[in-house]
Amino acid sequence: DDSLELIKMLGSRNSISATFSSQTKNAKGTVVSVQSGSLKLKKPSHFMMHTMEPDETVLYTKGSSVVYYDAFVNQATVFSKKDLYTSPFMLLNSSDKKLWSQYKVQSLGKCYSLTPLKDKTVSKITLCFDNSRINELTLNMADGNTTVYKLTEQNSTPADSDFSYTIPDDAQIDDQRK
Amino acid sequence: CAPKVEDNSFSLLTQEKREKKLNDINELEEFGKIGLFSRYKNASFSVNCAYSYNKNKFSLAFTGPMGMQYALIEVYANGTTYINAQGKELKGENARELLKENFKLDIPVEDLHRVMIGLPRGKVIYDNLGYAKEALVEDQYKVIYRSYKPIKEYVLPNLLEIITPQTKIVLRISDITTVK
Repeated sequence: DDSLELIKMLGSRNSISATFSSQTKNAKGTVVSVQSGSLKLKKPSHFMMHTMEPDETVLYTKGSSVVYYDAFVNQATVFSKKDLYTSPFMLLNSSDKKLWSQYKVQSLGKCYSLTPLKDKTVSKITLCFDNSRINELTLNMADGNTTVYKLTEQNSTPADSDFSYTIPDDAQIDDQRK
Repeated sequence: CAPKVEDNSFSLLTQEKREKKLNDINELEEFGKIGLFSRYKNASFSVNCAYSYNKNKFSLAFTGPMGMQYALIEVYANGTTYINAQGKELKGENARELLKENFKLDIPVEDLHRVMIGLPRGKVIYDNLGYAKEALVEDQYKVIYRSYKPIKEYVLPNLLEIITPQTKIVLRISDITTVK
């Protein structure tokens, strides 16, 4: 298993600040969704995925919680971080061996394939690197959908302020923390 | 207020010719976002949705932010199939009830194609350019068209609302990938 190699690769960088564009295709190859925005990560556990097009959604960590704000319906949902650690992007921030043990990792040259051993919704994650930078992440879902994220414009380091977001005062807050 | 309309040759056709042209659409694929605005607190949600139509069936797929398919409903002439997030298949006669029961989304599925192409059923009010602005279907639902978009030689709705006794649905189409 090549997880140690991948963890070391991911460990070489303390943060990521990138522009992302993503496209989801269904099992027949038809495009069902296209999105773009910015992605920021900073160890040990700061995360901000701000989708701007075609609609604004914001997924970010806040202390021990994760907040998902959906501007389309002006509603924020709050989860506890431990519930969302299986999200592929949150994985990139972690060197927790217990978390990584939930994946079978195989090196494929410039890419690594991660096969979840427990999660039944994702069948495979593929991470591709350009030197030490992730430039593509592919999610093969168990239902046949495939989402490809391309990361570009990775020249800056995220500031602490990049990881906060102000939810509108009139937004509904759906607190899902147990 | 009148829906915002961007023009192309379609707009020069008579009402009758437009309706014939829209009814002659053999294939339509488009995707965007659907939002449910519930009157109950914290019960609103939005998901990505993809609509696909051909002469034998139409389908509506709902996917999450990272591409996971939450639900798929396929409507055929002789019945409906609903596939949930776990891939389980449910069959039924009443498409609306099947979606409402399993996905908590109440939309007039049986009339969906007409709604999606701007030829809604019911009592229709047109704007000054001859595009459907509002449609009221008995006491079941109301459609409000907010915006249309030219695509090839058609003009199709790209922002609409469906209001039922319990909910308001907003459907925004961001891309029409196939229309012929």
